[in-house]
Amino acid sequence: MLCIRNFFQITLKQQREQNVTNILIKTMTNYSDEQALIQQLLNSDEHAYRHIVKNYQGSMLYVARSIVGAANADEIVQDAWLSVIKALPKFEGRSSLKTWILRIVSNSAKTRLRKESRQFAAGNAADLEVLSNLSSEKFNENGSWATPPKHWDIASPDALIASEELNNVIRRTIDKLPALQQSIVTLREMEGLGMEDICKILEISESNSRVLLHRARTKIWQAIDKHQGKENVEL
Amino acid sequence: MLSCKDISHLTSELLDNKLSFSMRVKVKLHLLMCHSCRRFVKQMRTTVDTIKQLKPTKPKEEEVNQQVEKIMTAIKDVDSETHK
Repeated sequence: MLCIRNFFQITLKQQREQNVTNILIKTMTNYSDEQALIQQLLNSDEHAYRHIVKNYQGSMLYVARSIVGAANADEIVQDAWLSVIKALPKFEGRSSLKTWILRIVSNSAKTRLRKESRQFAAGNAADLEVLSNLSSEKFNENGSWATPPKHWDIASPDALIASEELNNVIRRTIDKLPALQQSIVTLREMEGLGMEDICKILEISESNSRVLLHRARTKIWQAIDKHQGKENVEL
Repeated sequence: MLSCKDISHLTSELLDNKLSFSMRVKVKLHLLMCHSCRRFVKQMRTTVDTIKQLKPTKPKEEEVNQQVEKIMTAIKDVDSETHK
């Protein structure tokens, strides 16, 4: 009798330990192995979908806004999620999952534009109109600095991040960039996507994307620079 | 000889190692002689490194919950269509 009771106690203990281990694995996993994540998504695992919504939805909205504008971006993202669910079993892994999903968003957005007979290139041209926003005010006629860059009191990335005010200034500047610049700077600098992938997702040439990235960086530099001078930052 | 304005246009390509060898030499020569451009390039590098350290804005918990709910419903709909 004692033997049977011990057996059940041990079995129950093992089961509890196994449950705890499963919960820990599920909680701690960061899906560093993309194959595991994809498998979980194919199994319709809610935890896996929560992970990709948390990590990808922001970028999906940036891409949608760049192509169709803010008004229809949400709708495009919803269409894209449906396409992702349907197409996931056919995903061949030729790009990262994130790049693949962002291309689906891009395709959904362009399909919408075609239906509405609008052209994506229009936004592009407007964004590229002025190549450098430093030109007129910062340089003399001979091309030398009219107002040279001043010394920065807060001059390291760590210190800039640690300064709540500057951190907010940088984020606000990024939020107010034209949609295409915002997408490029977010996907490239913050999400670490390659330029080649970004060009494919947004269907722009590499030279255009470099101009837009430079403009975005310059605007953020200007915002930090103005703040270092304790002036009001006009965004 | 490149001007300071030229350097300001080329800074991103310099930081991203996208300049040709000859252009890189021209830029470096200018930087040797120009304190203001050295400061500008250094500050642009700091700007880029700072943006890289910023974490992308993530959706709020409530938005995530709503989106996941929509997705799970869509999955059920797609599954039931497939099994019809």
